[in-house]
Amino acid sequence: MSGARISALATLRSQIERIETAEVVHQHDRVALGHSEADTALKGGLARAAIHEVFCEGRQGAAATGFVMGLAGRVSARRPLLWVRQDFSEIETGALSMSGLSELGLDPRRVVMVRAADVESALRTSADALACDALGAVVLELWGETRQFDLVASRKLTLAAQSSGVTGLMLRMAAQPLPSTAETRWMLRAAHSPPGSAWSAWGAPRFDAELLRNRHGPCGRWIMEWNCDECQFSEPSTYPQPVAAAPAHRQDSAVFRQRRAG
Amino acid sequence: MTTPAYAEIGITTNFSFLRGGSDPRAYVHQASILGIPAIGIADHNTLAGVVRAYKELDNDKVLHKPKLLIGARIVFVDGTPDVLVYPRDRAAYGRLCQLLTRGKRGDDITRIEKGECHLAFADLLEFSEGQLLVLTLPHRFDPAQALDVLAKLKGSRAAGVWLAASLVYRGDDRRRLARLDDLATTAKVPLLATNEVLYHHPGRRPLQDVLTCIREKSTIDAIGRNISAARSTTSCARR
Amino acid sequence: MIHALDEAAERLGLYIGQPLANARAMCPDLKVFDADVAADAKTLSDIADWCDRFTPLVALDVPHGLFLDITGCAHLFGGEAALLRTLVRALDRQGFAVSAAIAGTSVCARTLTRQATGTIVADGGEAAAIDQFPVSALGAGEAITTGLRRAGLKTIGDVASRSSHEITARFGARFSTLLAHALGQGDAPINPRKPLPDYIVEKRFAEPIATDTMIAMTLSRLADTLIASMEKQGKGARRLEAAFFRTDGVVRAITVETGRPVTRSAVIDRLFRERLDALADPLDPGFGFDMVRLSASRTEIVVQEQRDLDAHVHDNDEIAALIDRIAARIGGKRVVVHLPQDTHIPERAVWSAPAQHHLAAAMQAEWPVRTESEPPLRPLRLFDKPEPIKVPFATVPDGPPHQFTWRRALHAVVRVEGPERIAMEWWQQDGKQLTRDYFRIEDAEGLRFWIFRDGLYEGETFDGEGKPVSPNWYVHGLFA
Repeated sequence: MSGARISALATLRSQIERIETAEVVHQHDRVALGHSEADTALKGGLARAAIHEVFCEGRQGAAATGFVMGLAGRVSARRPLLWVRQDFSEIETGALSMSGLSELGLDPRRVVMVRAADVESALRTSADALACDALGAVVLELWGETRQFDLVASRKLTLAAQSSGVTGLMLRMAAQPLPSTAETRWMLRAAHSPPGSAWSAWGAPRFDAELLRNRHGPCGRWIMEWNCDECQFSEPSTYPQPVAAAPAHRQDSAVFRQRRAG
Repeated sequence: MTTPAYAEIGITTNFSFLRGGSDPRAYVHQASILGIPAIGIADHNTLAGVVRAYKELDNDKVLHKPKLLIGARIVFVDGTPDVLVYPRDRAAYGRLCQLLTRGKRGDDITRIEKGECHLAFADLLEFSEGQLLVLTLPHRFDPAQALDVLAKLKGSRAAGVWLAASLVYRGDDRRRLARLDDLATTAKVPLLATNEVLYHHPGRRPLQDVLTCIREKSTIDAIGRNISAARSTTSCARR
Repeated sequence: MIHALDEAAERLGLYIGQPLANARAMCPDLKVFDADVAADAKTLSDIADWCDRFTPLVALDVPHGLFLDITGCAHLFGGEAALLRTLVRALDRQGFAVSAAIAGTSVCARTLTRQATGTIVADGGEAAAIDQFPVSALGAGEAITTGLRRAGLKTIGDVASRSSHEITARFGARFSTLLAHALGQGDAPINPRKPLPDYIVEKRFAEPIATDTMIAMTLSRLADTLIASMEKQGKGARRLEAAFFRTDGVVRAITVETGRPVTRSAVIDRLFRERLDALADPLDPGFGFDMVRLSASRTEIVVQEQRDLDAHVHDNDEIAALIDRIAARIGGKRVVVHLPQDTHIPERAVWSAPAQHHLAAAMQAEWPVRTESEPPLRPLRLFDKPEPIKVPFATVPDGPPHQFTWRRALHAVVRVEGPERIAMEWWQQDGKQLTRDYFRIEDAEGLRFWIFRDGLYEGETFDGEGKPVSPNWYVHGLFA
């Protein structure tokens, strides 16, 4: 075996080792979301240096955006956020509004937006950005089903996130979940404001967040509220908690029926 | 035309320097056209606008002569929210004049420049006998402070105390009205509907904006968000 | 009318400006083509591109001339004579009729080309070289040329023998200046098509190169040299151009811009790799490139920072570098940061500015402060163009609707807050705009909308005959 080959092999070995250990190194790097039951299921919070997927139906795009923005706000710890989106999604659900972002208590100054024309270019930019450890988080926003975002693409993003420590958040609107290497996978819907006539009690972002996949813990479904003042999620203060960490398959849960009826 | 059972009592005229956009006479005519039975003119620390409005009632073109309420908006130097003061009788009117004179002259004559008026909340309490007092609150207010002011007004010798409830069109009127309602209930004072009227007709908005610019020492292009464009509401112009 | 003609036609006595019918009468089997001025201009510009290989200073002399400033370049081509020969031969091979000359001043060289091709005039020899030429070679225009002939001044030498005072009085200062330049006394600066870049390095190949590896290697070496020469003056590049000269004359120029001055050749390397990778219309070497030029057309003095001491500065550098790479691949306008604008109008509240140029400003921008313990007053997603919704006749005249149809789905309104009245800025001169009343709405499903009525109820909206009509409603944004 020639010297060059040996050294190439050594490089490869060390690369593999790094990828394998990355998971271990970053394992305890989790950020609490603020919602205690969700944090328990997540073993302390959302894992950094990993990929998380947030799915929603087409008309729930704004709710899912709010949830992803909240996650990004939690994990990025005042570091810049790179938001990659595909041209088409802006037509469907509108552009991410910085005024709206700042109303959520998040900082528009740290958002760099990449307007990718298509999925390929969005994917490539995201992979590139995930390798830049100066970023707090990378959000990839895609609309509709995409062939290109397959297991290989997903693995590539995961590896990039693991080696840099940057968190990747996939916002998948109007798409069905497919097998991937994501750490967690969520299905998002908007949740009602609490019943009653108190004018002061509605308008805050509220999510019906269903954890469909959790690589290191149980799944569940919770009503989560984003607290704009404290920049974290919380249990909905004036909302009866109908399903406490219900298993994901329990589609017919109380909250679901109530939502339908409402 | 059906006669609205509504009297607008929060009118600011151009006698409030750089604040009101319309002449007092214009309000009289607009009230006549809309059939509003009574209007209350309350300029910033002055009664001058009322006098001119009064004279206009003699004009033959004013078909429906509105009842004219005489008052002033007391603007304080100590951060207390504005209070509309309407004297119930001649004696109270005299006290209101005295109050305004004190504001203009002050304790120390050299301290106050011409046109300025320095009044503290304590001054109002001193001359409150026989007055009808309406507390007006800004878009966002501190309920504790408001409660304190209302308690003090009620504790004075005033003939009546109200809390003004107006729409500010900032996107949270329902929440704000609910809070005002809470406040009124706690303080045990009635709510009084009013609009903060700055001009008599929507066409006067440009003038109003220019006045704001002059007051804020800015230009119309530069003032942007600072201008209270959202405040372009007129009760008189709406049916 | 004849716009241009070839030598054969000229020999027959046809001339430019002659009516076509006359020409046909003189020569019945004349071949005629429609003049295409735009195509001519394009061709001239293409030739100019090709000439860039000799010198970066190429100026157009419309309609059919080019000036090349070859000061300090000739030795690269084996001297002036060799350069002239190469240039003429190459253009000749491509089917152009060329007349070329080299002289100390551009005007003299141009005068020479009008009379003979291939002339090279040494410095100081200008007057002697054009002495015997007819005055028309100066190209001073029909009126002056005729005037000179009438005055009995047939050759340039004749004119030069008169006092400049006399010439100026008779034919104007402009002509007198032109004459002086032609005679080598002073020169009018040429007006190059592209400004001279701050730093240029180039590599020529005897054997054309075509493979990606060779191209990458060449760029990489050029980058090293470029950086070395910039470094001496403490400069970094903000705009770089790589020009690829194909053997057949086609030139392809690729530009990359950066948000911060680049001082490392590895960065230049990577930016061009990204850019070349993402070209919609990839670099086509044809029969190969015989020259590659790398230039820095915009540079900046680099401030040496003590980077190791400040991790934050280091992070910002990394982000700037990432932005540069993404911009190189997908275009600078597609990577943006956000700057708040001083206006009430929601769709104009934010300016998306290219991140490469505005990153620092955006990181320090002052955004309106939100009020604590209030729910969001602005939606998280905003439509660039508000989308019309169908609203049944509202029961409360100036209130919100009870239901509305948007994108063919019916939404029942369950909760409402508002209105927020946003008046358009009357001092912005863009026509009559209506006052909007915005409402925040929650529907039966829990979806939250930002809708508005365009125009005050019975106040602002009228039909063609001035009768009030019910205003239109729109969805402008979606809340989380």
